[in-house]
Amino acid sequence: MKNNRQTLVTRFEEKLIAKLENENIIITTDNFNFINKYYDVVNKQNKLNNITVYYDGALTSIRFLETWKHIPLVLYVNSIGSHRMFFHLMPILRQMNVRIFLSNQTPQNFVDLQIMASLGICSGIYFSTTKMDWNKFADLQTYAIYSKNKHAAVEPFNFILSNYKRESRLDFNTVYYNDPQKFLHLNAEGQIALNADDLKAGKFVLENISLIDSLPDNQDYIKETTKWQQHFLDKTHCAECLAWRICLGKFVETIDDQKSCANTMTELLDGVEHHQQRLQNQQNNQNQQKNRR
Amino acid sequence: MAVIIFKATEKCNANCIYCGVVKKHQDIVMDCELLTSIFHKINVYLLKYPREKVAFTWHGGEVGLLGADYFNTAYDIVHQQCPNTWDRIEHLVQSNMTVLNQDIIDAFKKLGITQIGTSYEYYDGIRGLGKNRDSMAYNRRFFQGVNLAERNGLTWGFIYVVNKKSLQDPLKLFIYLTNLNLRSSPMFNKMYDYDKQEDSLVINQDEYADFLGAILPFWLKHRDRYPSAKPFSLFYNSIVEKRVQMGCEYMGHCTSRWVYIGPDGSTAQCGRAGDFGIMKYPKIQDATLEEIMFHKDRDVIDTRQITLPETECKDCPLWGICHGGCVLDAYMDKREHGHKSPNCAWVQKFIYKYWEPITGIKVEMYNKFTKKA
Ligand code: SF4
Repeated sequence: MKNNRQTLVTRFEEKLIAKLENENIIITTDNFNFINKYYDVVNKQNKLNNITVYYDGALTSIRFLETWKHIPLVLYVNSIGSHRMFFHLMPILRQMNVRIFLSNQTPQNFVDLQIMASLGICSGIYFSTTKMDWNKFADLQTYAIYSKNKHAAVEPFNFILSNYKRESRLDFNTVYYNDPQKFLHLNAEGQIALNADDLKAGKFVLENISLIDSLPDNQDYIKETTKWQQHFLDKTHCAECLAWRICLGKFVETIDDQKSCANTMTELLDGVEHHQQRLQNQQNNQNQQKNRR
Repeated sequence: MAVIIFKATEKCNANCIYCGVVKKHQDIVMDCELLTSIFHKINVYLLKYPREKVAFTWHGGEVGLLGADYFNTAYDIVHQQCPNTWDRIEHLVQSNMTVLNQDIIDAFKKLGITQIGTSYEYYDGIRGLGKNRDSMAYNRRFFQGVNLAERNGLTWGFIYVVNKKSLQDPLKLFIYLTNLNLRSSPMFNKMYDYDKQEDSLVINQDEYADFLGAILPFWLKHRDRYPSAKPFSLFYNSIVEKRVQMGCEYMGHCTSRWVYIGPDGSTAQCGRAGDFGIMKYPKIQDATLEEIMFHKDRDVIDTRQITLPETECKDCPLWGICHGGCVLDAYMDKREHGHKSPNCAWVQKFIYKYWEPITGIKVEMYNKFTKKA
């Protein structure tokens, strides 16, 4: 596969896929009927990163097929649905290579994410509303970072935990493919947009993938990748927020008098640093023991 | 390492309140003949001292106003004049970032420059462009420069000049500035009082100590997050880790290490001496680099290191951190070189009011020849 190149995110278009070669590809869809076909076609001359299904319904209303077992799937669903049915799904879900995202729309979803993680299903929260239940978010975060019980990864906490480096900004929009340094979005004609919103709005920066080497000098790309600086020019709360380095103003529309987002995200930052320190100490101890031997 | 603060121009496109250079209104740009002769002299110096290196710091004014051609010419001159010593000349640059373009960046890279030193201001109307000090226009251009540098793989570090406005909320300011560049936290310098015209923004020694003191507990708690925030890291390394590495003003050993060279070839002890117009040495046209670096007038700096521990700094447990402070400040204060710097006051207040009570670590860094700890 092409190294250091963005992963391409696109709906399935056979002609387009045929034109691409050695690309890392994510297929987005709202249809479960052709999952196996997508997998086979994309993998012919490219590498399928995953198939992401945006499904306007409950997880338990999806009929999982045995033939999907080897296919990396990412599901965005509204809720998990009835718990009783969810537990019935567990045997097949456990065999799948799947990550399930629930929206922040209902407090129950935060609880359900924790249940899924504790049962070994990789999961994540996605933000479909600016009305955020920060207490629930904080509970989930505490679980994702501090819980000593074995559990599967919960996004975006897992991403932040694994990728945080104190000397660089971390954009957890990567989890949702909205980071043009890592993902580009293609329409059926192969025109390239910098994120999902631009794709929807028909705002393209390149006419096709052969022009990708010019992207670093593209003014829209530069604007998009440096738009964080506007916070500093405007001296927003976010520029003065302790959690800036892992949030980059993602919750700016939710800022309240209690600064709930800043408090929660700062706790997250402290937790992440604490976690890394613990790993570092473990590593140091192991090295010391090795040296003594 | 000899440090040359080299100002081929003192022109600047900005108009920052606390800048001593901009007030000189100098428009001269050093010509190629003089530039050639300077590198010739550096070559002679390096040939005589084969283990010596030179840190050649392009400073201004705003160096970007020199344009890419100037730097490309300088590159050619270096390689002509210093055929066997050019690799012992490290080029560094200080720029306000607001006039950089791709050609200049390419020229920097050709000279081996990998990092740009700069400054940034949070409050409006302090750093800015034009008569009205337009900060927004300045900051926008600053970010364009930053983006260009970063796209070309150059890193940048910056100084923040602590002024009266900074005292409003030191911690908020600290967080903003450290968020701005996660790779390299700023150095918080005290604003200098160049001509007392704008003294409404100049802070006194107590205020500077209080500013640092307001940040210290937070910095100590999150030291790993902000390892390069100065002067906190400098104090920590010196006192706790016993690696004394304060800024040049506090090391007491700048005697034959620094020199300023101005656009007309004038020389002085260092960049600030050049700005103040004090501790001047012969013009570079009239002397060798060696004669300037080891000029007898520099002896006062060494002498001061011997006399101060017997006099004004006698038995001071902070000697090992501060060494009497910067000779320039002492001279500006008392018009004599032999005194301690007035900055002694903030160092003492910072240590005794904040550092020792907060950390519980007593500072006992006496002069080892005059007092045993
Ligand atoms: S946590 Fe809130 S205040 Fe902090 S950067 Fe994010 S959106 Fe801004």
